[in-house]
Amino acid sequence: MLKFNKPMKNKDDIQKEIEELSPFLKKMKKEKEGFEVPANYFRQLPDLIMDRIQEEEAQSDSSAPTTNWLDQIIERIQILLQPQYAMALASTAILIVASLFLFQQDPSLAGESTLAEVSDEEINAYVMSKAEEFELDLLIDVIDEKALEEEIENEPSYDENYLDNIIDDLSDKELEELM
Amino acid sequence: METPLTNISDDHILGLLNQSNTFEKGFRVLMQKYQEKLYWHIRRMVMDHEDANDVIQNCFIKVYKSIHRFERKSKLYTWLYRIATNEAITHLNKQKKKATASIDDEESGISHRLEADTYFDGDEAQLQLQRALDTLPDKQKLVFNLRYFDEMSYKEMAEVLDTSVGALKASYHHAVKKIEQYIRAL
Repeated sequence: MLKFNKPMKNKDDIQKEIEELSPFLKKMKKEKEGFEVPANYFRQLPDLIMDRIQEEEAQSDSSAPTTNWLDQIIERIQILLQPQYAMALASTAILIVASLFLFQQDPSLAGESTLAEVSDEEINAYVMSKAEEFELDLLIDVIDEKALEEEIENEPSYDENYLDNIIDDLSDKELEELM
Repeated sequence: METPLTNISDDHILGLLNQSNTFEKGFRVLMQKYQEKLYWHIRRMVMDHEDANDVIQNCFIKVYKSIHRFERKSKLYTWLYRIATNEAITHLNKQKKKATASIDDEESGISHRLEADTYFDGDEAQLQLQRALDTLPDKQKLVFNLRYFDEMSYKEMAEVLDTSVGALKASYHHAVKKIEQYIRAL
C-alpha cells in the first residue's frame, strides 16, 4: 500500500503522537491491513474508467439535442415562415377564424349541416311514426307550405256547377242518406 | 528513463489537463498517480472491494467532469481526497438506508461483510481493529483513517474535511482511546 511522500518531520510527528496516545495501537500498526485487490487491478483501473467516461459521453451525445431548446424553437418558427408553409398556415388560420365567427353568430348552423344530410323520406317516415307524440302546431310547422299551396290550387273549384254535377251522379238513395 | 508517476508534479499534470490535445494524457497520469491512495482511502471507509471499486470509478468520473473547476485554492490531492470522501460517504448513507430496510441485520454487520469479502485476508488483530473502527461515527472514523493509515497532516485533513485543526486533533484523540478500549474489552 502506497503512502504519501511525507516530509520526515510530519511522519515522525504522527508516530510520536500515536506512541504517546496509545502504545497498544502503535504496536498494532502494520504495513498490511488485510485488504487485498484482484491481480492487475490498478493496471486495468484507468482503462475501465476511461471506457465508462467514453460510454457516458456517447450516451449524452446521442440523447442530448444538438442545439439548446431556444435555438430549436427559433429553427421551427423559421421553417414555418417559409412561403410554402406560410401560405398553408395562413389559409388554415383564416378558415378556423371564419368558422368560429360564423358559429358564434348563429349557433343553430352547427346542427343544420347534420340535419341536411337526412333525406326527406327518412324525415317523413320518422314524423309519421311519431305523429301521435307530436303536438298539432309542430306538425303544421313540418308541412311544406309551398306544397300545400300547390295542392290547394290544383283542387277543383267548389262552384255551383261542380256540386250540381256531383249531385247528378248520386242516386236518390245515396242522396237521402247524405241529407 | 521514465519518471516514476509519484514524482510527476501536480503542476505538470494540471498543465497537461489545461490543453485539449493533452487532456486525456493528463487525466490518465492523474489517475495513475492517485488511484492507489484514493482507492485505499475509500476501501477503509466502505470495507469491501466491490463497493470500493464502484466508488473509485464514480470518484474519478466526477474528477474528470469537474477538473476544469479546480481553482488551485487547495492542493490537488486534498481536492481529490475531498471528492473521494464525499463519494464514500454518499455510498455509506445509501448502504445504511438499505440496511435499515433489511430485516436481516446480521448481513450488514462488519464481521459478516469482511468474511464474505474474497479480498480480505486479515488476521484476528486486523479484524478486531476493523470491528472497533466500525463502532465509530463516520466522521470520526474518517479522521482516524486519514491520520493513522494515510499519515496526513492536520492542516491537510482540515482542507479535506473542512474542519478546524483543533477539532480534528480532539476527534483523533477520542477515536484512538475508543478503539483501544473496544479491543481491550474483547
